[in-house]
Amino acid sequence: MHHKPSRKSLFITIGIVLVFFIGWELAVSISQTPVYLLPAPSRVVKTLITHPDTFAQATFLTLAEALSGLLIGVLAGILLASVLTLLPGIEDGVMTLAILIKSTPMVAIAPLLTLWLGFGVLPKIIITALMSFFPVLINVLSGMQRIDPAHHDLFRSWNANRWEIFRFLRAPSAVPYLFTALKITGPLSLIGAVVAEWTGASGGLGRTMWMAYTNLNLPFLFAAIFILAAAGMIIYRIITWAEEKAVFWQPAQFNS
Amino acid sequence: MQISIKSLSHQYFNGKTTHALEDIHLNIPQKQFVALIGPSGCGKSTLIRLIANLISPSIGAIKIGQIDPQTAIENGQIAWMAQSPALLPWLTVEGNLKLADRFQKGRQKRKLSIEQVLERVGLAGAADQHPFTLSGGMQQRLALARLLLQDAPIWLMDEPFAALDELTRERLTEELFSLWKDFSPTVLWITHNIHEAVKLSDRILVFSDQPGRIIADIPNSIPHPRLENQHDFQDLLSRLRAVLHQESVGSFVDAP
Repeated sequence: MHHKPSRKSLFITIGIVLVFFIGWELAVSISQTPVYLLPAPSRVVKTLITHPDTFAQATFLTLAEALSGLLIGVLAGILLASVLTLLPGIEDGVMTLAILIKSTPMVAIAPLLTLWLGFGVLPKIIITALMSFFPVLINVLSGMQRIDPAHHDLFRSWNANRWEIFRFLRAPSAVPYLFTALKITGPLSLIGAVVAEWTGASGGLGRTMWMAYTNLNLPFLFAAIFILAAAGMIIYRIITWAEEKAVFWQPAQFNS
Repeated sequence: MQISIKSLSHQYFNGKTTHALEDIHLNIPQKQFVALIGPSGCGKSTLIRLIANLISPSIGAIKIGQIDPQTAIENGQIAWMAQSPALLPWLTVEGNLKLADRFQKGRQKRKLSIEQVLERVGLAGAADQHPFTLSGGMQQRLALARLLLQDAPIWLMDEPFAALDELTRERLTEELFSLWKDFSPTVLWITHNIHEAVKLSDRILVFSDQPGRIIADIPNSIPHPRLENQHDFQDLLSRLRAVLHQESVGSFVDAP
């Protein structure tokens, strides 16, 4: 019942990715595009291989920022969704504030945080947490609120109190919704960390990209992009894998 | 446990006022098996939801023995079962029963253990399975087991088997009857199937279309086992059909 990627679909995926990169490689070499505009993928990979320590350090720092921010944002989102579910009276006020924060562009907040808090990891973690928080809040809150009326009737007939309904019914019902949010915020957390680094940092892939960009060192810039894309995909895969384990009672998707 | 209902009326407000029930007077002696039939939306569900304290009546009073529905729920005297088995998908068969058992705390020792109720409904081997691995009929068997575990003197059942195929429904209806014989609860059972109503019940209440009133209160004392080809079975069936037919013609003529 659960979706398992078949061997066939795996080959198709690899095929599509290969066609993309081969096309890129050929286009660059045929059109003689200069490397400061668009480097060929082979050149990017060569850059990666020749500077392993530089990229490893930057990647480690950015990943650490992104995942700490993600963790904080997710925990805060779950906590606030729980509070709003248990105390529905304050929902409108808190949600207005949350939407206000959400609507403020992160590219505007990031330089401010850097100004206030310096070039260290803290502003990056805050930005990533702010970006992760909102999708988790919205999704988990709907999961906790949209429970099956038949379940609710049953718990009422058991004389369950509000807390018991929360603990045994609302919280587990929200788990699938939490994973929906994680699939959005997981890869997004990398963007949060990179955007924050771009506004001023002492390390990380964002800083690597910014330096490469100002020096028109495009192979370096693209190498960082390749790492980010790969890391984002790996994070996404880990989340979907965890989802299948945690939300085992729901068939994943009906593709293939 | 006896249920007595005096001058009960109930209205819904959802944009316009719906008179779900009007002036219901009813006495149900303990251990009676009562079938409630009538057109869809005629207030049968509203009536048993009122008795289960899932909603509060607009006018009138319900007494369960000497107490009100709220107290009866607090004392665990009412068991509820509906068309949806309302199983928690993240819990195993046993986990679902253990959860129900949690809410029986502080009450007098129940008659049957989890193993015994599973045995009774024919799910003895399925304790470690999850509900999504069970067929619809087995899921309702589990809901029946949960109801048994509650050991309540009153069973309120809102079309519990309506979503099942005919053969499964017939089997479960027989199962319900055998449980009633063994445990002698007072049963209020909503059904759309007049054959089943005649086959099982001690008494049949026929409801009118909105506003819901009891238009016929028919005792059923045909001796068991009741067979469809018996004279008195067929007589009662025709009588019910006549009442229901009159009701639907009546509401048609009354329409503006």
